[in-house]
Amino acid sequence: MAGAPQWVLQRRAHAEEQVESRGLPQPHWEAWRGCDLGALTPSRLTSVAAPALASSVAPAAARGAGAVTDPSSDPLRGPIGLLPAPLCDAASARLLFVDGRLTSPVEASEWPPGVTVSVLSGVGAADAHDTTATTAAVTTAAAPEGSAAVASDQAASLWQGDGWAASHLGAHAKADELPLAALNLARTREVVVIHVAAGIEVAEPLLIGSYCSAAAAGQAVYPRVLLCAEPGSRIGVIEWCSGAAASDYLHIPVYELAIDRGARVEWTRLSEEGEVGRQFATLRATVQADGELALHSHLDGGAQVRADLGVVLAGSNAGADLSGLVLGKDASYLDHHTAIWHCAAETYSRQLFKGVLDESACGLFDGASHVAEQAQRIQAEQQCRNLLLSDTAQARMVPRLEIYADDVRCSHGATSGELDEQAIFYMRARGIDAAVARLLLTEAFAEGAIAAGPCAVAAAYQRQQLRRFLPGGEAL
Amino acid sequence: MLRIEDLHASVAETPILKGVQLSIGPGEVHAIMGPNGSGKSTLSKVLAGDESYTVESGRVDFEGQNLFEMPPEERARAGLFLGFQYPVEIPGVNNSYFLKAALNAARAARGEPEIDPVSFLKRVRERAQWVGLDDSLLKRPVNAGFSGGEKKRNEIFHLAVLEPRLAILDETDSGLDIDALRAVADGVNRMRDPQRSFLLITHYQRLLSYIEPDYVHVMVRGQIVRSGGKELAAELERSGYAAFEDEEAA
Repeated sequence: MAGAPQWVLQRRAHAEEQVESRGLPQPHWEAWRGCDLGALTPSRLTSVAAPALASSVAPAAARGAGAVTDPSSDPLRGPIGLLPAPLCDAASARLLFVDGRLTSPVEASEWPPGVTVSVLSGVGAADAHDTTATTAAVTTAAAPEGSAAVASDQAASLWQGDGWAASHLGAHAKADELPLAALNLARTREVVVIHVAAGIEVAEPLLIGSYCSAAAAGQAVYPRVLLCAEPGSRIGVIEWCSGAAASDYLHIPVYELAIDRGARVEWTRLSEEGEVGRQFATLRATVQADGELALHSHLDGGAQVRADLGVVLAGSNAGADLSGLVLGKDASYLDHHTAIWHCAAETYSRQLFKGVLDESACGLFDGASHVAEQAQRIQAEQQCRNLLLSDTAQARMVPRLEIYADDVRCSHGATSGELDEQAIFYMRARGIDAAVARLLLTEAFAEGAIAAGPCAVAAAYQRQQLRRFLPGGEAL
Repeated sequence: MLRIEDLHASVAETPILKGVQLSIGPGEVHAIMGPNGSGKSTLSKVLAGDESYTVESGRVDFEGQNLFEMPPEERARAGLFLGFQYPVEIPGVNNSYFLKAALNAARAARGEPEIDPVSFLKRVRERAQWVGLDDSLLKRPVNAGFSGGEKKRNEIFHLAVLEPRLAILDETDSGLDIDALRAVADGVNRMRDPQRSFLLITHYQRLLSYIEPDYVHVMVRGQIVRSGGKELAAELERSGYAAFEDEEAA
């Protein structure tokens, strides 16, 4: 299968039109109020020109991560080692974008039975603005065993105009509504589609990484992933975003999750951007009846990171558990914008976001729960807690409830404060150093958010990263 | 073991302790009794190093060291233990892990290696039994969600595991039912040792029926106005504190 399907090209053209007609986010737009938009300038939104592979990324050994597969089997395995080793080791399969391009071909043998992965690559490779590219190619892989016949059929129909990629690409993160999703669709170089067949349960998580190298400095990177979980399926994904320390790249990933009836998706975002890197991520999920999304977002590092997480609960008894942890220091600006749309009766959403903010970091949580008139007997809970470790750290919290139904249970709470001096004294009076007492209490605070995430592997990694984040934490 | 000389201390510029004198020898059990607001709890917090209290003057020597030159954690590692009147909840910090960290901090200060996990587990289980502390509370965060009685038992459990030289128990008996009081007292009595001293701070004579003190002191308006043997507690029970209101420090 060669050449991008016509419908993809049309959607990209439409997205580009949206970018040109609506423009970039403006500070007076409600969703972007208070957000520093200085980095979103046309000159910086140019897509990185060349794929950055092994030659332009740090070797794995230098970061201590360790490659997970035999480098000799594939010349492109080197960059895979950029992925954190503990996550790599636990994942059932891995994908890594470097500067918006996949670093290794999709191999059928890697994917769990019932999971089909397809990549539309080379779209607009010559020029990020060229939406009429003809160099696109699709590669598809599905597990060869067990479900080969089904997978083969799916591969053939995947990119057809009436296939599920066409049904969902751009249908959740809509170009008409989200300017950065439009920008991403117009300029992404590769689109990854992951399909989980009905009833399939994948025990180990998939790992999808996106890394911005030094070559991306001053430019933008647009990875895009679409996940379709068919009825009754279950899958976990760890999504990791990072970049080179001194590279002032702009990372604009978009993730769309289509969760069908009774399916469960456990999605863990781990954002660990380079110290001057910036990220504006968009995730949009639609959950059908009896489906569930467990979504966890960990923001650690980067000059500016905004994770825009939106969930539509479209069918009755659909649910979303959102949680997150923000670790901010220096002058970083770390922002969770969440929105849950309760569109059906007896849906539920639970949100717990925590922030540990040190030095001059600023953490923002803006959480909205929208309840439609027909969405009776829903439950929506939202909690945001922040711990300020310095006098100059800031926490801003904006809970929003928009309720049109009359039989609902909605609650929200937002707090920020310092460590409990009584608890510190109690611990010191038992012989524990003041510094250790502070560390233990900070860890205990963060643990509530970490434990709320759906993935044990990611949680263990978060605990490790938390100790690196806290001064003196590694000595514990 | 402990010598307090002319101790004056204040909180938020209000004088509370106004010249406390007290000496505690090795193996002795002292009880300080007094009405509300007399400064009993302030004395315990000042001895433990609570920075919300200001020491205005006076001196306290503990095992030959000037206590006020030591931060709270050093005092604890040197063997001074405060059982809190209101034990603090520490959500997220496992009770057993916390105790191990505390125990190892004291051992490190003495130049000893960390306790091995098997010995620690054995000691923890044994001492939990002494005070009737349910095993499940060892795995829970320190004091989080504990009942009032469980919190007090947990304080004595910490005391039993840490084996301090001097234990100050600040109204450990308040809010306890008779069974819990007996369990707490049993724990303390098991810990009595010729080298270990106790300072019990209490309103009521009741605790002293279970833990027999060597000396009883009456504190009124920030001073110890009368000291005596255990019979003084019985006298207090009969006469109340009013009879001591007009007494000056000895």
